[in-house]
Amino acid sequence: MLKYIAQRLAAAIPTVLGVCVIVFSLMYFSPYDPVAAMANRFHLNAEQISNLRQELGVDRPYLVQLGNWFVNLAHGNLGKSFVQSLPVLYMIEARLWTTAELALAGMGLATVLGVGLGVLAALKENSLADSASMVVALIGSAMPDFWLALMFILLFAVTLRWLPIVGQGDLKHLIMPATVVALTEAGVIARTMRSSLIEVRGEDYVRTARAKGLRERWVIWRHALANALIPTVTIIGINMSAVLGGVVIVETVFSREGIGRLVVDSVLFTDTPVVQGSVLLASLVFIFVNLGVDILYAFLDPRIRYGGNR
Amino acid sequence: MGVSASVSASASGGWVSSRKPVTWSAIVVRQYFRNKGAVVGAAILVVVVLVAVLAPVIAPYDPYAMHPKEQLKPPSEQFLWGTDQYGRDMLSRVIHGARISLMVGFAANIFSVALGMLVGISAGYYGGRYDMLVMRVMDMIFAFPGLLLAMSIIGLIGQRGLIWVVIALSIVWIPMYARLIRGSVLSAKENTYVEAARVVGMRGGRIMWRHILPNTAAPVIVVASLCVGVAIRNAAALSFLGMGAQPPTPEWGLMLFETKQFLRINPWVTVSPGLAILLTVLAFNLVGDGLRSALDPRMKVD
Repeated sequence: MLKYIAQRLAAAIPTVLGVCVIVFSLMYFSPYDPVAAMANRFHLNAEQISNLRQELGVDRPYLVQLGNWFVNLAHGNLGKSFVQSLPVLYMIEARLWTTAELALAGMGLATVLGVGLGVLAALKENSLADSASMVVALIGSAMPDFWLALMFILLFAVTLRWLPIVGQGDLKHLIMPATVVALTEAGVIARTMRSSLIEVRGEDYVRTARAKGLRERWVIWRHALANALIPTVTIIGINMSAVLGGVVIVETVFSREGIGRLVVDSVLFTDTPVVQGSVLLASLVFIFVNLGVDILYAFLDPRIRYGGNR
Repeated sequence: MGVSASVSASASGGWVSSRKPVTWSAIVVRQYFRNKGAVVGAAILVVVVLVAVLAPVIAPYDPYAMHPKEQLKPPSEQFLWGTDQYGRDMLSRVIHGARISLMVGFAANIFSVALGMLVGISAGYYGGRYDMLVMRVMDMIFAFPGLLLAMSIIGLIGQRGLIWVVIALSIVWIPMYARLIRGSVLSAKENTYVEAARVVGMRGGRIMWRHILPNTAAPVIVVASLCVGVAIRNAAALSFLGMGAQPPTPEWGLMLFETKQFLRINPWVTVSPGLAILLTVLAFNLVGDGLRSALDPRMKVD
């Protein structure tokens, strides 16, 4: 098992390095010149412009800049924001928990809803409950999350006045955003859970367990569900990255001070170091979440652990 | 039933078929229409496409025309779906929005598929270190969450507008299509007729075009139909955030962005574009699922 983890970690490292290089190169080769923009905005003269260039280090060749960037990265220095002159790392740190809270709550709720709905649909296969659940799941995955958020605001904040619209920090600020995130993700989870549970139920070992005379409940829980969870867990892992994207929109609508909104604002203001830093962070999170899912997968399915054919 | 070739006995005791032979496409179509969801999806899609194509004809007003005295009015006889904050007719705007969204969705996917095909077929066919290198690069792009990557591309380029949305979204999906196509290529390569072609001396490129390419079509069609819906939703999301379509374009996401501040005054203005997005994406999802089960229920599409 440990060997498997080590293998996966080793495979992740070149990907992380590659991501760093890509993020840096995108900025380097982009036609946008922050120095020119600043020169325009603050009416700098030629000498100030060249000083600025030197200070930012943008007049050196590609490899030197890349090297500098990596050195800085190793020291935990992600640069300073063009707009606010605050260190990027500080800006990200301040907003990290708000986003994490939303992502975890949303994904957790989505898992509960999705697995519940999927199991229900699978157990009552081909009934009305099954079709109804799948229709709900389908609509959930087609739903534009920004619109759902607006409709929620309309209902719960404007009309009923139960929940606040903007802000973060306590439960009542978290309910609506987390539910929006959950509803859009739960659909996919439900469908995957349903199809994998149906498939597993038909397997021989389940029939054997029933033939042994075990109670239906025990059969479902112990044998079927655990194995049916495997593809679902994979989907949940893949969807974590979708959640990272969805969190962006939800944070913007509900004005939560999170990383998603940081990215949006910095894109709108072309605040390149912040965009770079947050994209880097997001992809690192994604890579490590995937790593976690892979490990969990190996934990659930012993065949993977012992190096079966993948 | 009854589409299969009917046979009749001929005088000499043999069998003669008197109907046209069943084609593969006919079977696929028939299988598709068995699925109720797929039929509904296709129906909605036809409506949306018709609306988009006929937009200038069926829209009651010019989507850009403002009526200053009729701002934020609820649906009435004059304006069937009400007006927005500048007094523009919502129905016409949503109708024209269909045109824009469909164009964006298809354009983004066409570029993605084309480039993904280039990468996927060559990587799968030639294999070896080239394959490994290319797939590594694809994995790195794939490491970014879709919407986030599209946003960062737009942010790093520094421009806003629908054209950049299309470019960013197509870049984001190249790895997915490349991987998908490469998978088909790897299994198509095993076929004997490919080996035969090579033995006879057919050039690699020609083999790829004539023998391998048609095998990659099925999964690509399924995934593409799902992805056009996703593209439409993501493009609307980017416009909603202010990075995509710019005012006064009647794009659905942009409409939501512009009117969300008026939720208390006239909520209908936010409901209609959102519903349009929902229905369109739903239609593409249903069609994609239907195509998947029609083409081959056991097809590997991940």
